[in-house]
Amino acid sequence: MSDHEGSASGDFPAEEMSEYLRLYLDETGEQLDALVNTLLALEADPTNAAGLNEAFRLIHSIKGSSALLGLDRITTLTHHLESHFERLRSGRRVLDGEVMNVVLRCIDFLRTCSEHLRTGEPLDSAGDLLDEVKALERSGAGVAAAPPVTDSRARTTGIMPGKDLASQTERVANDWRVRVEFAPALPMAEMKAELILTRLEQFGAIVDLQPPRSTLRDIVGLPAFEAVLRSAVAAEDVAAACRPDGVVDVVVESVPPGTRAVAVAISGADEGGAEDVEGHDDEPLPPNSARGPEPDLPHVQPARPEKGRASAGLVETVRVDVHRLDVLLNLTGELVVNRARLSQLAGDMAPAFGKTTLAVRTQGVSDALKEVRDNVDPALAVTVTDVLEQMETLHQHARLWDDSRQRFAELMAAIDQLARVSDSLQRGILNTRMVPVGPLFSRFRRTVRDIAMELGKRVHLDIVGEKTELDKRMIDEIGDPLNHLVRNCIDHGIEPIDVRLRHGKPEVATVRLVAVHRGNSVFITVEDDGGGIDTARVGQIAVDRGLLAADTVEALAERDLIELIWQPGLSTARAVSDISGRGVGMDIVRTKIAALNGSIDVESTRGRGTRFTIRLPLTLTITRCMLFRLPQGVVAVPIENVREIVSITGQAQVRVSGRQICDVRGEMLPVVTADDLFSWSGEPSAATSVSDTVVILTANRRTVGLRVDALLGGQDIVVKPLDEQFAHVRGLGGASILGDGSVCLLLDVANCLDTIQRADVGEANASSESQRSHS
Amino acid sequence: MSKTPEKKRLLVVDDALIMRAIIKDTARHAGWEIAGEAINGVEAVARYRELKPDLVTLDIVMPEMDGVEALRTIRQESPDAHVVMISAIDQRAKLSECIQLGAIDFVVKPFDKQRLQSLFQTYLHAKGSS
Repeated sequence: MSDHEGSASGDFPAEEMSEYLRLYLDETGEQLDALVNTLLALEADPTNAAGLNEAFRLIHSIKGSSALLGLDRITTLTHHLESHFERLRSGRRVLDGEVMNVVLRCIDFLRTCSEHLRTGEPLDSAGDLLDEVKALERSGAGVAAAPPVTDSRARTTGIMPGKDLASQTERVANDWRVRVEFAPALPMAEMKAELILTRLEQFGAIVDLQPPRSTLRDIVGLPAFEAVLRSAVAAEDVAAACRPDGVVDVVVESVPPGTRAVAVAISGADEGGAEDVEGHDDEPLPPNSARGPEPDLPHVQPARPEKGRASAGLVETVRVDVHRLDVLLNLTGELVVNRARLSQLAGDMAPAFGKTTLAVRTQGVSDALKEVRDNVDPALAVTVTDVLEQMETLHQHARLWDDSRQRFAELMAAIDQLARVSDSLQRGILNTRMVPVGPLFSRFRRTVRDIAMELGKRVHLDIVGEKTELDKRMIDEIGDPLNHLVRNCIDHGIEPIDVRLRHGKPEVATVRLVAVHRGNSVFITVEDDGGGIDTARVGQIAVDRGLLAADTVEALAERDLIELIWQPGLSTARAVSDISGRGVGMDIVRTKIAALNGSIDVESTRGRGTRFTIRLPLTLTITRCMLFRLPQGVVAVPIENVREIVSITGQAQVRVSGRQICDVRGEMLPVVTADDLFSWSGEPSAATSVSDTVVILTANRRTVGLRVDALLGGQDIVVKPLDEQFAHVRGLGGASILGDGSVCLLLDVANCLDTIQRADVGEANASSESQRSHS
Repeated sequence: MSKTPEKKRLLVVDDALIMRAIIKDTARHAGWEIAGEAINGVEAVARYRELKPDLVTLDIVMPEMDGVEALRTIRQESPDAHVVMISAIDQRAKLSECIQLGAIDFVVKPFDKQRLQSLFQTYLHAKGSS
């Protein structure tokens, strides 16, 4: 029985539950990311007060929301983690490697839980992990020998504690340090404190209190208080008594006699001020020795900047289902298309509303006719008068037409206005989908740390451009390929430490993740300073696996050998490691990126390192394209795939094994026609292009010229997926509706080039190399 | 999806109709059953005897018998009665008296809807109130 199915549903109606759960999952995901980053920073500086506080806060917050949803397993685990961090930040335990590993594993477990909650699978038991966390508590126990008991809602057992007092009287009186934290901005929190203290006094004596009772009632917006209770009751009962509504956290821990309550930072308006509880003072002081209401502990200070940072970065946001944005974007796309259609229609009509006034012309004709009528013989004059009457009707219409010219100008202005608004709308909606790559990149800190540790390498991850924004959908899709690349860098790219030292390289290797925004694209590079791609090995494997003949490989240039890594079934790992060998090859990475209308390239220098460069469009749905007319219709090509447009009139042209090759400024390029790409229905090549306009298409470092009838110019098009029956047609990437309402097909250039290459390879006598250009 | 076999029962005491309406709606939404309501202290005491609800929300300022006196009587008759006071922000002294008399919690008027929901959820989960 999972937690989810168990107690969670009791709290909320099913539909609300799913809504809350969604919010919980989103939020927890972010918190876990932040937690990992905080922990990794702490790894370098384990006593950093701000970091420890932040980690505590994050765990505390996850615990709180898990408890709210009745996710008992998560609550219990986070609760123990929290108690542990409480000790870490009070300096009673140090965050060492052992603790770090357990904590990171807990985070993995929590992520798995989130995934299961998302898919509706039952949650795994935290059993062993929980024991390990508990073991940490025991192993590090210093002053606080008894494990602190924190109350979570799941464990609250009674409204009015103390009924079982009789059964507890044989217990020896114990000093409990009780810290109670109120919800931010809880009205009359000081009265809640009084309520709790009144209850605690039924258990025993309150030997210390911060803030002191004399001032407590006057503090408006009391965030928290801490008391030391001398009582024989169990920690659970103490905790339960501290749980009226509005209390967000209660920590009860056993303390040695004489321990003082720790001052709580009080700043009325400051929400979450309780986080400032800092620097547990374990120095035994005589009980009841009064302390001023002002927090006088120097340790309160370090937490400050940390909090300031958190609130400064706080932006008011609304969580919106991505699908809703998709719908909006799609509608905006339609709007833009219709606007374009309006513009085009208006443009077509424009000549009719030209400058010359029609009425002046008709008037001129009428005047001329009148003169004719006055000067011809009466028999003819009758006819002319007839014509004049008809001219009068025409003249009236002409005047109406002239009046409409003004209207038409207004219509044009309105269309312009509409264009501006719809463009802004489209941009605006696109912007709402843009999220920074920072959180995605940060996730790799953990990956890098873990793999490096596992492989006994030392790696520093350098992140640049984390503020660069990318479509949310893209961020979701790019995670896996990036993960693979990063793993690859560390696993295959970076040499073992001894090798690095031998080559005079720094022991700590660097992996750089860089994101930059250039034009309509975002470039993400994954770069390492490792040994570079071992091209000899790549070639050898290609031969071993039967992908290429030995002599073919020998003839390949270094550049082309490197390109071999994109071939399916080629992995240069000497042993299948479970790090990169997760069933994803570089070919899958490339395919995945191509599916995002992006491209990936690799550069590698032996001994210096490898750099993968991923180019991604800013968004998936709108693509800047060049439009061409082919005999069969209009096609669009993403602008990134168009290298240049040339006229090959008078250029040297030769035919090599059935393929036309053209000399473009010294570069020999294969030139194809639409018929080479697609077999069109009905009669083939009825109207084969005879134009000399050639568009040079490029993708994945391959280049080919495509003959087109005419160039129609550039345009942003909203790409729509093809209907199912066309989805399998190779070389088509989608379709769009143009301003005139006609359908235009979008070429998937990489796929087209593959098709051509396959055709060439099929022709056995041709060596495909000679047709590839090396740009 | 397990269901609470029997809903917890609430007695709502307030002289203002709108207050009772908000409290009832929120409580129902949180999974409570409304056992009954009363509009003054005298009625509250009578209804408590009759209904023995799991929880009472008790307004402090009411005609005939105020919340403090009603609480005193109810707690005398049923020492384990669970009463949550409804208090305005300026009733500290009376609220303090109620706390001494054993009110288990209080909620501040004007209501923050979430606060109120949270309150009902808190006590819905607590054992020992039945």
